[in-house]
Amino acid sequence: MPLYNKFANVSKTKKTVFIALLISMALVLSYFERFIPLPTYPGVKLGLANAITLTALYFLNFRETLSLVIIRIVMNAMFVGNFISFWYSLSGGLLSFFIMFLCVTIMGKQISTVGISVAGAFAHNIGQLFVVAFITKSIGVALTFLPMLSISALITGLIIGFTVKMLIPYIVRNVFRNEH
Amino acid sequence: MKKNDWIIAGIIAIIAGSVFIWNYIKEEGVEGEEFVAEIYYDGELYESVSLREVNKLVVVETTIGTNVIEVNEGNVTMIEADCPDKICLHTGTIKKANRSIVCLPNKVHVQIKGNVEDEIDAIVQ
Repeated sequence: MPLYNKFANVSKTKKTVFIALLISMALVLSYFERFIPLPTYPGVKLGLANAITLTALYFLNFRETLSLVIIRIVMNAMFVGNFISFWYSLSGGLLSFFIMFLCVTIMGKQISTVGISVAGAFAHNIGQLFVVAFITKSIGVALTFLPMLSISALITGLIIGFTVKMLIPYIVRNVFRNEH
Repeated sequence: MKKNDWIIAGIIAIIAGSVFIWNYIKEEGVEGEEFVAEIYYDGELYESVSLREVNKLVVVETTIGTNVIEVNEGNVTMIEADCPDKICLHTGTIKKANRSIVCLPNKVHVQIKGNVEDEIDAIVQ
């Protein structure tokens, strides 16, 4: 159940347009995030597209958000990615989505956007390390990257969390303004 | 920020900290032990090079791509790779035991190991 469930009854057309807008924003964000300089540690990235998944969780149900995540990852791979980056994003994106969904479902209003975002960013990195462990066939190799990635997840998760916190009231005011 | 936010951040910090300590212990290695750079392709050992080698180049040429690894007096560096993301080149030089350079697109990875039998990796492989 999405947190803003009063929007569950908006027209199908409006919902479809909203999902399409979120997907296109996620694609643009994934494309432009590569131009933001970051420490070149394997796997460290801002994860701006995660902000879209997080936003979607507040307004859409499980099925709608899941399809949004899968569509944005497949389309992103078609535009810019390669074979490995596709598996990275799929594994990270799905795990991150499931963990954030669990956080929202179990803790609801007991947790803020920032906490969900940090958990999601961490889950994203764990998902990527699964791919590393799978391809190198060694858990030890994947573990050597974990501490640094966790710290990066804490920082990027915090940034994304605060961004979404500010974004949600804006969407409530502007995108769904006729619904209440 | 609510209480649960801090709990989640705390859990992540604890996981990161404990894995960091675990890695750090393994990096130390055993005194006087000889380190080797083990080069793997697709999870299988491709070549093992002693870290005492000077300016030794290992070319890993597979059906997927080519990687060139340099071993020079204890330093291991990936100096050439034809993978699309070049993450392995950005990793830089590794010197300590249990550190690794991974080139996922080419399924190549290098890990520095001591001569002692490694329990965890032995189970995984």
